[in-house]
Amino acid sequence: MILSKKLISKSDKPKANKSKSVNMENVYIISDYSNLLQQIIADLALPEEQIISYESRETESEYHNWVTDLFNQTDIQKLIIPTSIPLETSNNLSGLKIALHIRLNHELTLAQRLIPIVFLSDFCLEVILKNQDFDPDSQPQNLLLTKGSYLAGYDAEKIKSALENTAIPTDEDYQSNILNRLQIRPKATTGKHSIANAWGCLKLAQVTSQSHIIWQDTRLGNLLKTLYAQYLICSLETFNPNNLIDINQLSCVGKRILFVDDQADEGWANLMRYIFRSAGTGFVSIDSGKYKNSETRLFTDFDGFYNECKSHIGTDWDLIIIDLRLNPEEEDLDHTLVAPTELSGYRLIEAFLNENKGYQIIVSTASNKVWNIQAALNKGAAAYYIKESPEFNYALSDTKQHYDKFKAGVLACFERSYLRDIYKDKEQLKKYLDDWEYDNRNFVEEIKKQLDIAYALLYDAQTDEQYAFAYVALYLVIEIINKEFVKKTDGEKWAVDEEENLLAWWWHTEDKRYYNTNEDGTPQEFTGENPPEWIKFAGLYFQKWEQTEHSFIQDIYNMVNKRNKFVHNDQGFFNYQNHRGEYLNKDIFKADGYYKLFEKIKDIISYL
Amino acid sequence: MIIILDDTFTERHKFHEVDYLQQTPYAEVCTIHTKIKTTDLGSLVKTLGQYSLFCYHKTLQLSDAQGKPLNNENNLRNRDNLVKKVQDLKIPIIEFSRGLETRFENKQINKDLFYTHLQVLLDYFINHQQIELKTLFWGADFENEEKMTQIKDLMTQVRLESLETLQENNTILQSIALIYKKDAIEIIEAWKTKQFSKSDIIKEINQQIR
Repeated sequence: MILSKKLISKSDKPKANKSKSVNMENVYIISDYSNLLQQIIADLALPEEQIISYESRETESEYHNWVTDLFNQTDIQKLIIPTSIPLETSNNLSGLKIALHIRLNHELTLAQRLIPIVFLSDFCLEVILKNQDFDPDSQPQNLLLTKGSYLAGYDAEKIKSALENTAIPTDEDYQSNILNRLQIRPKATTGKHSIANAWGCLKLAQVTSQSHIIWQDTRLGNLLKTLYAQYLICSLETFNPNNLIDINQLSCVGKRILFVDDQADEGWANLMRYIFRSAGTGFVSIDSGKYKNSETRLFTDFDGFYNECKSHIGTDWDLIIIDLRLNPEEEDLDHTLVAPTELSGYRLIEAFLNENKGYQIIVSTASNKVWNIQAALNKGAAAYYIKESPEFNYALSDTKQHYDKFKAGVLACFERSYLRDIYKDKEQLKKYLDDWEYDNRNFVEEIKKQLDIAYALLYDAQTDEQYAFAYVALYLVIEIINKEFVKKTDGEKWAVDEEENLLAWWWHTEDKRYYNTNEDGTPQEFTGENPPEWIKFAGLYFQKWEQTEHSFIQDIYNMVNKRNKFVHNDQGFFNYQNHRGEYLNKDIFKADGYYKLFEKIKDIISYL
Repeated sequence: MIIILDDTFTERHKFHEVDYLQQTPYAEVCTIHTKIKTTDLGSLVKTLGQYSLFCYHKTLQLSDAQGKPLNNENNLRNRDNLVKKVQDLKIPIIEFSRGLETRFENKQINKDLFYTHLQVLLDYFINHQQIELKTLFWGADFENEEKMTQIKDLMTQVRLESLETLQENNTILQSIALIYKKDAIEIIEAWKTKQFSKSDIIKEINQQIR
């Protein structure tokens, strides 16, 4: 297009005498080098170095990066942008979208984001606002209604006038007069291209001091550089993030943690590895990326991935974290209701717990479908972690609370990971009893049932009393065994396994051993209506099984005593302390007491 | 006929009502393939000649004979081959993807916008027996958008040219006539008589279209 002679009308005549001198220093213009823009640049006498070349880009993240680089390299104080750019194509609002990438760019300082912008359009504001843009989700025309934005026609004098009258919005304006007036909507909340996963990663990263990891990940970073994500990020900046970063590292030295997530390769593995860093090589994440197409990030071998997950069943994990929907292409379908029990994560939880009900599992999910989480908890998952969704733009303080809850869940799992060993040992004991060739199968089944009852009580125990109930239930195994093998004979004597009479065992304090004789060495048989359980057991131990560890019986005596004192509500007994102030008998109210008794039960069953 | 290849089509229901595509009359003019096996590509290519428009998901995932997704290398090769065949047949192509910025000039469109306007494109095709791509990019309001583009061009010319030159440009005269529904020469003469500046003319045009 050739610049031809202009029509010189009265009002288009040069107004050198009227025109005010405007400082054009640090005023930049984005130009597509169309004839009209070149004419404006000439009229404004803008030097070449203040002209920014427009180049179209394919994605929002590319625009974000372009804007970031531009502001890092150039001291832009004011900016002129044509609303429609390139000018010589269809009418569009691309210039306004570029401006959105300036206003909504967390990598720029607030001062940079707030530079005054003069938009060029010969359409008046009313006409532009009626215009439909390609991108109804970002509604870029709304930017014209915010502080710091000015509209001028392609007229140098009007542009100069606008530049002269611009005012820099204040920091307070940013929220109230800019962000609040924009309407940036999510394009989607789920699906492989959505920002949902990246957002969940970012929020967790923010409170665990790992944001840099997320931004260094090109894929995640690009998703978070979209206008909607940037809008959310910029909207949440009204806090001091330093106060909300967790500085108490999770203590997991020596722990074994398994992490199963289909999006492990999309940020989560790195985040979790950092959170559980003190576990070192004890932290294991299944590499989901190995089974995916690297471009589409869709599973090319979901079965391979799922089988690798299952191959870890049986290992002594202290904690297992499992995402509920491991195969989103099949399960993340809003129009099709997938039953909670059909979700691959649920099935994996089930498979782990079928092997060992003591596994401590935290179920994670990006879904807000509580019935899915509830199903996993009902199945035996210990806790849950909901990956944050951009749908709920939580303040960082809330994110911190979510993370604290997750940490508490993790620590509870670590604390309860003894259940895994107890369950495994219990099942081995039951198998041993099954294989034991003993005629009275009712007796064998009774012990097995009692072991299950005691474990169930322990599993559900939360209060002191509930732990004690579990302890009492486990103690009953001793009574069942005593009852089977120590029986009353004629008169007041008792027989051990119908072979010899039960002796009257007693503890010699100085010798620290048990005797069955008088002071003069005469053997004493027990006579009486009902020998204490510990004496019956001592008879079995010394007489039938011919064991010799006197401390074993002393331990059994103390354990039986603890049971009796609890059942008879002897508070004084439980308040005994040693010289260091430690309570001597209160372990019955914790898993520790059960664990010690269970160790003895294991030995006892091995003597059968 | 229009063909759409979209491996993510099942997600569509979350965002748009797309059931109409399975029903008359749309099903007769629009074919959608959501799971494409490499073994089906041969027969698909043979049918391409009947289509007036080929729309595909930019990161389309193809599957092997067993329905398992291809690895990246194979997927790219097969997808590029397919698109090349469409290009060879000179069938217009629309590329859509969620991450894409919509650009009419490049025939690239954001996936959400593609599905938002798809029905308009199909309606136009059914009623006029021809493809109007602008319907896909601007929806039912595409004629207004065309008009706005025409007016924008007119304003640009007003800024750049003299009124005498404008009078000699048929396209410009048509644009003026479109806005004013009057003879364009008359309008320009009136501007001259009133000694309108360029800014006055721009203002006057805005008055007419607001």
